[in-house]
Formats: sequence, structure tokens, C-alpha cells
Amino acid sequence: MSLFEQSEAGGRPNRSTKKVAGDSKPGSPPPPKYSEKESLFTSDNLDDNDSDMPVRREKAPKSTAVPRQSNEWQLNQYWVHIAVLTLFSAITRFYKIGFSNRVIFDEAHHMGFGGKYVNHTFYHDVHPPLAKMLIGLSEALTGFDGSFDFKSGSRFPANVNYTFMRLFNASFGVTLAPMAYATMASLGCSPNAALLAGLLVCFDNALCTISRFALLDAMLLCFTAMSVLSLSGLYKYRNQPFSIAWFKWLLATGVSLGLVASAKWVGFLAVGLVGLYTLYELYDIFGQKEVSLISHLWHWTTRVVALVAIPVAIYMLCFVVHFNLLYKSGPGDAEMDSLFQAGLQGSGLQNQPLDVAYGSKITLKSAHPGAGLLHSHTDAYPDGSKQQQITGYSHKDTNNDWIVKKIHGQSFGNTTETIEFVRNGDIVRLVHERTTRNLHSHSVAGHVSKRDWEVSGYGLDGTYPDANDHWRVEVVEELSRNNPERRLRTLATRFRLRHVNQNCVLRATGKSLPQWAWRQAEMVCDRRNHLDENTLWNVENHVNPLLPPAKSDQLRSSFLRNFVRLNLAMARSNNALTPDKDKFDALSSSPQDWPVMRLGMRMCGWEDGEVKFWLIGNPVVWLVSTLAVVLGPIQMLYYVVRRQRGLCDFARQNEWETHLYVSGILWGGWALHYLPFYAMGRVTYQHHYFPALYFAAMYLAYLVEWSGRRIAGAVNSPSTRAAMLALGLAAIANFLYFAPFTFGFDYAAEDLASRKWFSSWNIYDAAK
Amino acid sequence: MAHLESMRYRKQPGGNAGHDEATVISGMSSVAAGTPTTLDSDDAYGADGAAGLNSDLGYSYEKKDLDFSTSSTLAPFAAGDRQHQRFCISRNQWITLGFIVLAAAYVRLWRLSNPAQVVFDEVHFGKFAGKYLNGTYFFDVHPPLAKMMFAAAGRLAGYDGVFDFKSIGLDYIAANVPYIGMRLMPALLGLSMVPITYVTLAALGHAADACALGALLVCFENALLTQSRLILLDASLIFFTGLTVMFWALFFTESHRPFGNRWWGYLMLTGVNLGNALSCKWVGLFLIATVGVWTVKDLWEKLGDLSISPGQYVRHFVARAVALIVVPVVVYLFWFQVHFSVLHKSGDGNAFMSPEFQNTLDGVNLGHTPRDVYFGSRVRIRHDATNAGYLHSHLSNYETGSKQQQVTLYGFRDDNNYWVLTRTEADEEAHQNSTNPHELQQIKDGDTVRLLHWRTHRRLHSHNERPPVTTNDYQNEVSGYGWEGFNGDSNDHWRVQILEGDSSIPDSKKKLMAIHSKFRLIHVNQRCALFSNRKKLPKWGHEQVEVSCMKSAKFPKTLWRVESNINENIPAKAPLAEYRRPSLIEKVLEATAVMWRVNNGLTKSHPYESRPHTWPWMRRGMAFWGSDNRSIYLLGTPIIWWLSFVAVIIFAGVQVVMFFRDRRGFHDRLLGARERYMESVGFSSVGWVLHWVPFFLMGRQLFLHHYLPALWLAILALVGSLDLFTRRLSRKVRQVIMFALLLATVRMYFQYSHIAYGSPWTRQGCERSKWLKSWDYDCFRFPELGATTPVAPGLKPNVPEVPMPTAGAPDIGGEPVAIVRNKNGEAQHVPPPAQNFDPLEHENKLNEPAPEIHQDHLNSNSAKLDLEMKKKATTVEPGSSDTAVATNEEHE
Repeated sequence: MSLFEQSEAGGRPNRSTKKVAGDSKPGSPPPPKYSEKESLFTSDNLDDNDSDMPVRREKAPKSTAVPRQSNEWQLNQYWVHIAVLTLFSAITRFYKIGFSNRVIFDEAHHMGFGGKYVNHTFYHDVHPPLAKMLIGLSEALTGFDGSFDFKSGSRFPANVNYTFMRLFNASFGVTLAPMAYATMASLGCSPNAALLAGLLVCFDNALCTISRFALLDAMLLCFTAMSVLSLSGLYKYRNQPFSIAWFKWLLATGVSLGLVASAKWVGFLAVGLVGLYTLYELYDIFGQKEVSLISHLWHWTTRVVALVAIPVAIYMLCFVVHFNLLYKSGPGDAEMDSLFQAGLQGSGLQNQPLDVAYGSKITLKSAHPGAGLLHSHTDAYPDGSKQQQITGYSHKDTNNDWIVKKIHGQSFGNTTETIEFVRNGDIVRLVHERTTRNLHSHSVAGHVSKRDWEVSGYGLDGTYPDANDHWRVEVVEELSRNNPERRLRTLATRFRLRHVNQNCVLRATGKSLPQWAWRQAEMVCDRRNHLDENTLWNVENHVNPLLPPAKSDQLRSSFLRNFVRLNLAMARSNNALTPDKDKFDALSSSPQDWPVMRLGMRMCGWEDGEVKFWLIGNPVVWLVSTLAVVLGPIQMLYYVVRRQRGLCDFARQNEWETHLYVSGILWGGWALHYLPFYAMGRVTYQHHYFPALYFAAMYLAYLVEWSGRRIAGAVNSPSTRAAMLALGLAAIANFLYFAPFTFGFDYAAEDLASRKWFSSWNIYDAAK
Repeated sequence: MAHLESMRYRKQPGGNAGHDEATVISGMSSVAAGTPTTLDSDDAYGADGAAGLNSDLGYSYEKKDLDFSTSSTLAPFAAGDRQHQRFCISRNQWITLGFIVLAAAYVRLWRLSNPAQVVFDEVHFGKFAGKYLNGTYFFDVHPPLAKMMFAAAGRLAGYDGVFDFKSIGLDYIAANVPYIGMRLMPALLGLSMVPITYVTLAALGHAADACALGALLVCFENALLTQSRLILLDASLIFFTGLTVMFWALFFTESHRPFGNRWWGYLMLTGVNLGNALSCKWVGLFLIATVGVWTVKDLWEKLGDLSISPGQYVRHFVARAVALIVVPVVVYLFWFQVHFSVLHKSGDGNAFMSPEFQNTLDGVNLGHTPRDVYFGSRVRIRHDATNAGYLHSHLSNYETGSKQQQVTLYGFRDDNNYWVLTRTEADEEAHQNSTNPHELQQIKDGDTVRLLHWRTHRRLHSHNERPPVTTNDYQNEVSGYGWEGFNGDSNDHWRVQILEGDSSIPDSKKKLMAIHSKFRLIHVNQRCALFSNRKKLPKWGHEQVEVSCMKSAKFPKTLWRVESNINENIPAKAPLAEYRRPSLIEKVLEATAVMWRVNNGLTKSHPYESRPHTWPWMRRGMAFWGSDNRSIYLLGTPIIWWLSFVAVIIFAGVQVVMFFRDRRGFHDRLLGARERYMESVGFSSVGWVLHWVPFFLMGRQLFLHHYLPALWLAILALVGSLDLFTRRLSRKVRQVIMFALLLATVRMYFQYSHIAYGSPWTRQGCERSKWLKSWDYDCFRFPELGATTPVAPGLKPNVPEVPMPTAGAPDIGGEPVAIVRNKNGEAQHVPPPAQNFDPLEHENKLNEPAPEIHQDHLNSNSAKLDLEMKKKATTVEPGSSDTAVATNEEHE
């Protein structure tokens, strides 16, 4: 602290000389003056690195004598503070962590998904795999045998060491407070402000509660904090580009961005923050005439490699591991295409003949994700042609089986020796095996999509020959090798079926038929030739006793294909999580509820005797930080307006610029992690605000310090210190007061009625 | 930031600014316009002289370049002694403009009478004009001003409001509609865009020849022309947009005389016309945004201008706030007031509005009803959030679920809306045994009631079955169950929960009161609330609105109100309730909210809709009308559309390049035109962006004509750029360029005039004009050159015969249809009969009376239905029939 005051005092009288010095700026950034450790608290914001140099040198004899010692002391202080914060965090995160022996909240999902990695069964979820793989790792470490299915609210059996799983997860949460401290230090704040930020993060009930269960959020928060910590390191060394420390932080930023994006897609907001910061920095460098062209290129290349290539590589690596771990067929199969499924153990798609021949029994899978298999059943259309219905059906049954036959008037005689395969361009007839109806289309309007033609089942095999039963096979994509004859192949060929007479293509519309067709997917013959994905088909099951089974290596889909497909499926599932806006949902909340703490959330059943957790923030942290993120920009506007009027508030150029940079990172981080939720159509929950809160807490501490310095004219004036102390103590007190919500309570919720500060909080049922 | 920093320091007054600094200052500060307002900047310009600028001009033209432009146009922007000269247009310019207007009048008004048939959206706006003349309330998604202008034009022309403009192709002559008078109004507005363009460009500081060029481009632009010759709203919108921009530009010419009379006049006129544009179509909001952005920019620069004292600054601020916010709002309200007072009679727009609103119309009398609701009262219950109607039941059954009697919402008052509120069996028994069984007992919050359908004796009933349309598992079917004499079961029990009352009547939150109390009906067994979401039932449900019972429902759509309350035992002097009368503001807010909702609901596809990204390059036009061998097809003049788009893109590109070059310390002057480029082309381009990009966010169906205001702004940008960047060229070259553009435009105007005016054409000419394949006007409509006798042109309207298709063309009855043909000219895949664009069709259907149900026909059913129900009730013990279903499902 003394150092601050000194450099402040030292800086002032030299203002005029500095200005002159600033105009004759040295051509290149100076070499790093201090070692990394020394500069921990020699905040850049107060030392105008470029222009202050001459001044500093001049002052050197005076200012080194005392601060040398205090630097060492400060270093110690830094690590002491970190240690204290880590200890507090560990206590709050680990205390009574195994109190409830039930599956709490989304542990049902995430521990369950972790279990899938133990069992190696393929599942589908909206989140990227990294965090769930880590949960899976924690389960594997306990020796979990995969037998428990983590049903919501159920009790853990004795052989499941849920305490360790939670401890593993909570340890990610422990890192949050020390990282907040380190971030603030890197951003050039005083130890007091950094400590305050650490305390606010450490003693926030919500951040603490969410870390104590095996959920994805602790990891997401940890990786987000890592990203912003690395970013603050980059910021700190921005005037010494290409130094060792700078490279270290750049690399760390890239790695943590990769991790955060692989934990949850919300992590891309952190990527956005770093991206915007980087663009701004590059723009800044762009204006420095003394930087050479080579140097510019170097600036760009290093950033592209570190901040784009590395995160992408990590993200994809996570999926590589994901696919390799999940090699058995499981509940998520249906989200992937047939070829991928064929690669899974136990999917029943292996050992099929490869080339489809006339007479083969096949099922046809639509590339439309929701349409399933081409299906027919004995029900007829109620209007239109009133012929037999053709639908898409996801469930596997024998009504999905079709026989490939030659067109009316032609026959085939297949034996094992002379077998005739179906090739690209062949005109075929598809006969529904159970009902012997032909796949048929005609110029009758569809039932839901009225602009297209109806597809129906017609005729009894060859009994009523009709040219409208003829379809041409048009191969679009071939995923297997060595297919010179362009044969139709199981799983690996993607093709269209074009109606010969009407020149329309069989297409899944993505709409459901009414109740009379059991709400199955609609199939039409698309006459406008929308040649999109929905017109593509592949053979999924193939039975032909005359043909040998395929070699397994012929049915493999590439990693990139699977990767893209899975990510698209995740996006689709994510978008499908749309709430019914007329329905009241006690768990979900909307973005405008979060900063004002309108709602808390019950994380489990609310019976009196059970251990209950109520997810609520620490009002001191949440409400005051909300105040800060609202007042901060207003304060900023005030100074901007004054500057435009030509009023000079800042003795040093750099002070204002530093303020913009730091506010940009912290406030910008909050805004980027909060405002996009307004634009999201999907259902939102309170815990979506936590990354934003992490930024808000740090911004609050920063703003208190900065405003204190503006008002009192010195760093750490007594009043600022008092304010910080009061804030910190209030946060701790409030944390302890709300501790039952965080650590769990097994008595009746009414006993905590005094803590119901807002009428919208559902701590207990008023009706009861 | 460092950039800003350097700026600020250099801006210190008194600095011995060099050339570089001067340009920086002018690039950033209020001087940018070349409209010197401060001493400071004068100094800067003085210093600029060192850079070889001895002329008295703000930017470095050489004298000879200016010879061809009347210097007075440039005067307000010139520095030095001429800077305080007032903006004016010279006599020569007025004469030129007069000639241009004469030419434009010929171009714009020629054959206005053709076709003598209803074209495109005249279907709507002609009809609406009629409604104004009749005074019957209607609902439309657009604010009223433009439509009222048509009504006024129709009144002047002698239209009586009888003809209904029902479909495209109807004949005007036969119906004796003075349509020419009505079309004259938009045509004149469209015509006045020509002088408006001229004055705007002049006020933006452009040379006389450029102003003339701009006016002529607008005059010969086919899309603006086509759109402004018909009874469509866009001509009015574009007119007010043009007026606003013109006054806004004029306002800036007065910026060195702030708070003068003209200054105030132009500012106020800007505000008034902003309000007018907004009252034509909501696209006016984009115009408000444009002016707003420029105001903020201007105020920000004024903030940095230390010669303006804080007091003056506040005056500047307040003046703009009043003129650009308050005035437009007042104008918008004013036109709505006119709208409401003209449409004072009940009409087909009623159903869109709340009962409070309807009550203000003549001919609607929702009247008084006894206020207090008692057990035994016969009531109509209105769904509060949707205006979709009353809780209704009738003698037909669901075809799904329980197959019991339908319960729906129905928008019109009939006897099937009556429900009798009765006690539960147990309560009834207790009441009968009480001391005073005949005393009226008021229904209170929390009471459990049963609702008996008055006509059919079914009770409002719910159970664990999914509703027919909304099949979520948290929604239950609501049906009518029971028969005369049947005592009912516990699934008929509903608890009354009053959520809102009238604040002036405190008891209305505790006791059920007609009209005042908004309440939910909670199904006691299923714990769900009676709910409706404007979902329509299928045909078998007479396309009435579905009612369901929803668990965990949010409030608004579960709220109901008692509207009529009948009970013989109520004493005559009992208090009455009636709907409150809403104020103007409330009415406007309500109308605006409904317009917003319906507007967003216009998602049905239309054969000629297009997305915004296809507009600037004009991928496709729109068929408006067709008959015999003539058609009207909205298509712009390609060269104007494409070049104006290029001009805007170039502006954006130049700004980006200069942004980075400034950062590197190069302060380009752009041939001395940088400030003017920003102030003129910059304004048009920002306006263009704000009139185009927001459409990307809209989910509703969009059309090419939505681009027209943006197109006009882009034309300003085109002409502005052309003017500024040809000034350094020799006069001859400049004139050649301008003439070339003009000639190309006129040439294309003639080429495409056939589909603009709906005049005869030849197939060859048509085929030749199709520069893009996607322009899908039908060339087979036109006779081959020399092969057939063309229809005689002339002002005499062509009485259409039975539509005679050209060879191979389908009978399309004069309606616009997308036709795809193969090479032989045979039509392929003729789409189903073209539907006229009806933005309200869906909504109207929702609000139109459901088909009449013939009670007799249904009553013949009733015995059978009764029997079925009784059978079911006897096989399963009455009262437990539904619970049996429920438990079964639980076991599954």
C-alpha cells in the first residue's frame, strides 16, 4: 500500500515534465523493468510505462530504498492473501458436503452422464462433454461400477461414494476466490480491493452452493475465472509483447478458452470477451506507427494461433475423447446418423450385408432429425386419396420394413451366384412388407403440407400395376470407399427417391400428422424440389440372406462428420428447450429476475425431514454489485461528457485509459455474460447468471477502490478502506446468516421464515 | 482511446494548429459539416489556408469547378464572409425545377385511370377508405393517417363507400367508383417527391446540376412510380419521409442562427412530419431512429463546442426533445383521435378490441348488469386476455379424448354462452337445511362452484384427458358432462379465485362482481386453471377457440370476467356494473398493442413475399395485377437500385478505410469533400441502414415495397457521392457522367414502363427486359410482335372481357400468380388458385362468427348423446367415471 502512495506522490510533481517526455516517446516499448514477481503490485496503471520512464529513472534512488523491502513484504502478503482466500473457500465449499445423501437437482443429469462414461454407453445432451467427462472421471476414481442410475431425488446406495464426487467438483469451486484475487492484482488494483473481490466471491451463497454438488457450473465458473485471470495477465504485459511472461499468459488464455467452451456453450461468451479485448488491443497497436509490419504480422499470428487454433483444438479433442469413451450403443443413438450408430457396439447395425440388392429387406432412415424411419400401417388417410398412410416413425418395428423390387413388369431371379444389385439411377419399387402396399405418389395434395403431393401405400405388391409406384434412386453422397458401380449401400449411401412420373422427391416435412396418423411425421413428395437435407435417405437395416455381412471397417463414419453432426444436434436440442410462456415453472427464471434477486430456487424436494438446499445469492454481493454495474457506466458517462466539454479530470492520461481498459474487461465481462440471455429463446435458470456475477463482484470491488481514489485523491484513503471493510464484513455476516440454505437444513422451512426478505422468495409454502 | 486522446489535446483553443490538426478537428467536431459554428474552427480553417486553400470555401475546390454550380447553394456551407448567408434557391434553379416538375407530372399522372380495376392492396385500402366514409370501426395493422387521406380523397372525388374492393380485378367503371380521384392523391404525393428531392439535395449542400439529376432520377424511378399511382399506403409514407428529411436538412442550413424563426420552423416541421410518417406506417419509427442518431451526433459535437454555454446547450437539448419527441407523439395521438372520432360506429373491427373499447362505439351496448354475483345467477363469462369471446358450449361433442360435449370460446353473444353458477352437492344440501334457504348468497373468493350450461344441462367438467389441440400433459380437456337430472360428480367442482378487482370498489377483490372482478376458475380435483390460448378447434369444433384446464398456468390467460349477470331474485335497486370508458391514450395504447400482436402474427407465406437481403439488388418484383395482355408488376429501375446500393456500400467502405488510415495518422481529405461527404451522404447512408437492416429482425412477411423509403435515401446518397467526387473533374466530364446516368435511367424507364403503367407490350420486348431470371412477370401474357393486334392504348379504360389467356396460359382470372413455364411456353405446376394478400385473414377468421349451429339438427342428436353418457355412467359408477380413467393412467 505504501508503494502506491509513494508512486502516486512521486508522479504528481513531475506532471509537466512528463508531458514533454510523452511527446518524444521512445520508439519501441522498453524492456521489462521488473521481474514478474516484483511487478505484482507495481500497477501499470499508475506508472505510465512509456512516458513515465524517464521520470522513474530520475526518481529511482529515492523510491527504491523503502519499497524494496515492502515489495518483499508485499509478495508475502500476496501469497498470504491467496492462501487465506483458498482456505476460506475450501471451508465453505467442503463443509458438510455429504450432508444430503440424495441426488440433488441436476446431479440427476450430470452424475448420470458421468456414469455413461463409466459404462461407455452413448448418450446425448445439450452441453459439450468436458465437464461431464470430468464428473465421469471422479466417478471412475471412486471405483463406481456404473450400476446406479442417479434418478432424481433418490438416495445414493452405499457403494456410491457421492461425497468424493462432490468434493472433486467442489475443488473447482475453491479456486474461484483466489483467482478473483489474482485477477484483480493483475489488473492493477490494490491488495485491499483484490482481497475484497476475493471475499465477495468466496462468501457468495449462490456461487458456494452451486459448487457443492456434482454439476457443471463449478467447472464452468472455474474455467471462466481462469480465462479472465489469463486475460488480466495479458493485459498486464500488454506493453511488453513477446516477453516470456506475455507468451505464458497468452497460452494460458488460449487453453482456458478451450476449456471453458468445452464445459458449456456459455463459455463462448468468455471467448467473446477475450476476442473483443484482443481486437481492441490490435486496433490500439495498429495506431502505433513505430511498430513495424513484421511486428504487426507477429502480433496477429501469435493471437490467431493462441486464441483461435488452440481453443478449437481443445474443443475438438474433448469430442475425440468423448467418442472414444462412448463406444457402446446407448440412449443417445437416435440423435446421430445411421452410419455412426453402426460403429457402436450393440446397435444391431453391424454384420449387415453392405450392398443392397433386389429382394433385400431394408428400413429407410430420413436425414431429417425428427422424422425417423419410413413407415406405413394399415390405417388409411381419412381424406385425399384415402389410401394407406405413409409416415415417419422413430420407433423400430416391423412396419418399417420395405422390400426393394423391380418395376412392374420386370422380375429378378436372385441366387447367391447371380445377384442383381441396386445402383444409382435405378428405378425401383418399394413394397411394404407387412401390407404389401407399394410406395406410391400422385397429384393429390398432402395432408399438412398442402403444396406438395401426398405419398401413400397403394396396390397389393404387383396386383394393381401402376406407374406411380416407380421411384428413381439418386445417390447424393457416398461415405464408403471402393464403390465403382455406385451401388446402393447400407448406411454409407445417402440418396434421394425421385418419383418418376411426377418428378418430385420423397421428403420428410418435419411436421406431424394429426391424431388420425398417431402424430407421426409427415412424408410428402416435394414438387418444388427443395433438395435439402430432408430429402436425403439412407438404408439403416438391411436383411438379405443371400449376401455376406460387411466388413466392419467399411462402416465407419469420420470424426469430423460425427463432430459436426453432434454439435448440430446439440444446438437443436438446446433450441428445443423453449418454455411454454403461459406455464409457471418454479425452477426457471428470466434474466431480469437475476440481478435483483427476485427468485430463489429449490434444489430438491421440500419435505420437512429431508435435507433441503435453496439456491439464493448473498444479497450483499448480488444487490450491491448490481448497483455497481448500473452506476459504473453512469459515472463513466459523467467523465466522458466532461472530457467532451474540455474539462480535464485526470492528472495523467494513463489513469483514464487504464480505467477504460479495466472497466472494459470487468464490466464488459458482466455485460457479455448477462445481456445475451435476453436474446435466448430457451428456458433460462438462475445459475446462468453466476459467471456474470463473478465479473460483477470484481467490478464492484474495483469501482469502490477507483471511486475512492477519485473522491479522496489517494489510494486506500481511510474512508475507502472503511467502505471496503464494511462491505466485506457485511458479505461474510450475510453469508453466515444464509448459511442454512447453502449447507442444507433438515428442519421445516418455516423455521427460516425470517430470511424471507422478498415476497417472491419461495422458502416455504404460504399455503401450507 | 489513445486516438480520442490525441484529438482532445489538439483541440485546445489557441493552439497553432497545422494543416493536419485542422483536418482532425473538422473530422471529429461540430465543424465537420463545413458549417463553421465556432471561432475555434474558423481559426482552423484560416490555418488551412496554408495548405493552398485561399478560396472562401470550406473544402478545397478550385474556383473553376464551382462555376457550373450556383454558388448560392453552397453558400451556407462556405466559410468566410459568405458563411452567414441564408440558404436559398436561385431563380434559375426554380425555373429548372419547374420544368422538371412538369415533366414529372406527365410521367407520374399519365394513364392514371388504367387499369380501371382493383389492383393489389387496393383491396384493403380502398375498402378502408369506404369504412371511414361509413364511420364503421375496422381494424388494420397500420396507423390511420394514410388511410384517412384516401378517405378524404374519396370523399372529394365522390366515393360513397358502398363498393367493397373485394378482390383484385373487380371493375371500377361498372361500379361507378371515382377511383381516379382516389389514385390522384398518392400520385400527387409521389409527384411532390421530385421537388422534395431537389430541395433536400440543395439543402444538403449539393450543386444545382446534382439536385436536378436527383430529382429526375426520382421522377423516372419505376418502383416509386408504380407504388405511388395506386391506392396504397407507401406513397404517403414516402412523402412524409421525404418531407421530414427535407426539413431536417433545411434545419441544418440554419444551424448558425440557432433559435431563429426559421430554425424553429424547420425543426418543428421536421417533428410534425416525423409524426405524420409514423401515423402512416410504423416504418416511420426507422425515420425517428435516423433523425435521432443524427441529433445525438449533433448534440455530442455541440457539447464539445466551448462557445456554446451550458445554458444554451440545455436550450438546444430541450428544443430537440420537444420537437422530435413530444411533437411526433402529439401528432400520432391527434391522428388517432381523428380516427376514433370518424369511426364511431360499431363494425367488423370490434372483435379485436377489449369490451371497454367496444363500449365507446355507437351500436355496441354492453350495457349495465347487476354488480353482485350470487349463487344461482345466470352469467356470461368473458375470457379476459384474448378478446376471443365467451365461455361457450353447444350440442356437439369432442371427437377426441372423452368425446363429451365441447366447451369453447365464442366471440358473439348467444344463449349458449349462459352458465348458471350453482353450489356443490354438499353445499346445496347444507344450504337447504340452513335457517334461510331462500336468501341470496354472494359468491366470494375461494368459494367452490359448479357451472351448469343453461341450454344443455351439462356441467363444466374437466378430467385427466388431453385437450384436442394443445396436447401438453399439463393441460386437461374441459368438457360439458351430465344431463338433466344428473347430480354431477366431483370433477364439476371449480374454485373461484379472484385475482384482480377494480381499485375503486374495494370489495371486488373479495366478492365476485360482474365486470369488476377478474378471477380464475381452479378445478378442485385436478388443480388446474381454466385457460385459453386462442387455439382454434378443427372443423368438428366449428373452428371455435379451444378451452382447456392448465396446471401451473401463469395468470393472464386464466383470467375471466362475468359480463352479464341475471338473477330474478336480485332487487331492482341493486348496484349495477358497467365497463369503464377508456381515455384516448388508453385507446391508442390498446390499438397499438393489438396492431403489434397482429403484425407479428402475419407470418403466412405469400407468393410474392421476399426477405430483405434480396431487396437492394432487386432479385424479384411483385405482380400487382394482370388482365388480358397487360399487367402491372412492381419492378424498380435496375440501374438506380444497383448504383444507389453501390453508393451506400462505397460510403461504408470509405469510412472503414479512413477509420484505419486515421489511426495510422493519414488524414485523408477525399478531394476536400470529406466533411460534406459525411454530412450529406453519411446522413442518407445511415438512414438507409436504419430503414433496411431492422427488417432482418422481423419475422412477419415482407415485400419489396418495404424497401422504397430506403431506396429514396440511397438515391440521395448516390447523387450526393456523384456530385462530390466529380467536382474535381472537368466540367465536361462531370456533365457527361451525369447525362449518361440520366439517359440510362430514362431508357430503362421506357423499357419497363409497360409493367409500371399496365400498358400493352410485346413478348419479345418483355423477354429482352428480363435481365435476371428471377424477375417473374409473365411474358406469355403479351402478344408476339406483329402476330396479334395489340390492345389499343388510350385513356379509355378497357372493359375486361372474360379473361383471354394467351397461348397455353392457364385461366388465372386476372389475379397475380407465380407461373413457371417450360421452354415450350406451357405452364407447369400451376399453383392452387392465387390468394389475394389478406394480412388479416387469420385474425379475422379467429374473430369472425363461427358457423351457425342448427340447434334442431343438434337436438336430434341430443337424445343419443344423453343415452351414451348415461350408459357410460351406469357401467362405471357415476361420479367415479373420470377418476377411474385417472387412476388407470397413473398405473401406466
